[in-house]
Amino acid sequence: MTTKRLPMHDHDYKTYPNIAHLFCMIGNREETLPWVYNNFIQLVYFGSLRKIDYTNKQDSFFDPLLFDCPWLQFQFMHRDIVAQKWQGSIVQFAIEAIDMGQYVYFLADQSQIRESDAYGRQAHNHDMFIYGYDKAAGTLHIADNLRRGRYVETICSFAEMEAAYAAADPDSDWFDQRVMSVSFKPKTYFQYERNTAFDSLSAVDAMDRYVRGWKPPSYLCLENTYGIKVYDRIQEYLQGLEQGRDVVDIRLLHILWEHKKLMRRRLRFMLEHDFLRDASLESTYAEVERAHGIAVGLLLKYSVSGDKRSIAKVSSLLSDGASLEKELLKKAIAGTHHRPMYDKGGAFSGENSVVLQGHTDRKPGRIADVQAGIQR
Amino acid sequence: MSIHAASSDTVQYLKKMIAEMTGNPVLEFDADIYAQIRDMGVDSLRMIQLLVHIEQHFDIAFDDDELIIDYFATIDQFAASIARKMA
Repeated sequence: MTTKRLPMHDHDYKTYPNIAHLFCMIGNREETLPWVYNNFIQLVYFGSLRKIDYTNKQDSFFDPLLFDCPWLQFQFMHRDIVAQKWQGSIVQFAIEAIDMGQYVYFLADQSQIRESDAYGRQAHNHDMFIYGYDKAAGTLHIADNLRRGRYVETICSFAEMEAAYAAADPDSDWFDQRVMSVSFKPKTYFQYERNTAFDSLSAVDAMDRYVRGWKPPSYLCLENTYGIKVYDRIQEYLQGLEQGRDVVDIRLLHILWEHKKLMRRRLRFMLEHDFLRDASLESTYAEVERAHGIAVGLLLKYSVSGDKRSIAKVSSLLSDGASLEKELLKKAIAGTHHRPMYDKGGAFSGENSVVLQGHTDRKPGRIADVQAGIQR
Repeated sequence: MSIHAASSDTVQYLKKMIAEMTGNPVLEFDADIYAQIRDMGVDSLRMIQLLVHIEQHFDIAFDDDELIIDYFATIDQFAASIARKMA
């Protein structure tokens, strides 16, 4: 085969590459949505990194959801194996992996990649994701936040990739010298264990921890802020920005906007599947999402114009948005009709979205109400 | 100035600005005004840069709602909004 590209689905969750890669691979396949809406609820602000990310486990410092996704099959291999079996050629390894339907993921020095903003500058170790190749052109299809912090899909030459792979600094390799190949897994065997059905009890518990700003009891988490309390840190950041002590980092607001999109879609999912019955929850929550979209635009506008009135508006929008969000999520928590969801997904879907049988015509009468303990 | 006339001039100005921003001179003449602006290489930061430039150039102000990324999906929509503000 001289050329091959694996599917890359478009989506809205591209603030950070690990989550962007995840959704590029799983897309919006119907069977994956229960897992998606079970997760991406709790947020953490890492004090030392000044970064906000998702973290859903109750007892974890940080759990990269990419590696926890039951719809992806990961294979981990040390770089030594690439050295021995592929003569150190990441390109040859990637071609073989892609031929088998597997994306390739590892650490690379992006200063070697012409399409990266870091090209020709100081070493810049970062994630690298390969999803295709063209032997005749001598190029690979790659994706990452390569340009102006934006997630892009582009190409690089075989020579650039070999150099980027070889130049990655082993001392700062957050993948521990591992090269990963990953494929979409259309059917998961351990569906109950791997949480592929929507679990209203678990999701509502996570929403409650988000609203309360619950912090895991661990020394690892002491300096972090959790849940809706991340907005306190954002307000401090905006004060620093207003006073000239800090610089614009759009990712801080963009991940919050992304979180609101996911949360609104979760509410819609819960409404569609009769876990919630108050449709105004989603329509009102759309205002929270809209406010965050405006806040992102205003912060970008400040970065261009320098007009500090934009910062004050951002502060106000986020403060009001967080208050409304708290009120709505408390209503959602109290108003959820719990029941086990029996449709687990797992249908073979190939590369296309699949609507599971019965999803559109599910009736409340078929459900077991866990709270009441009544099996209808 | 009619909204239509303003819009026609503005469309050409927007095409010129997008061509300059993206370093793609072809867009000044061939950009499809109904195509997605982001598909022309205009990312969110460039879009806001364009918006701020337009505010200064035409002495208008965009509403906060209009700052949402992808609010102006096409050149046609962008120009229509500018024309309304200038009318």
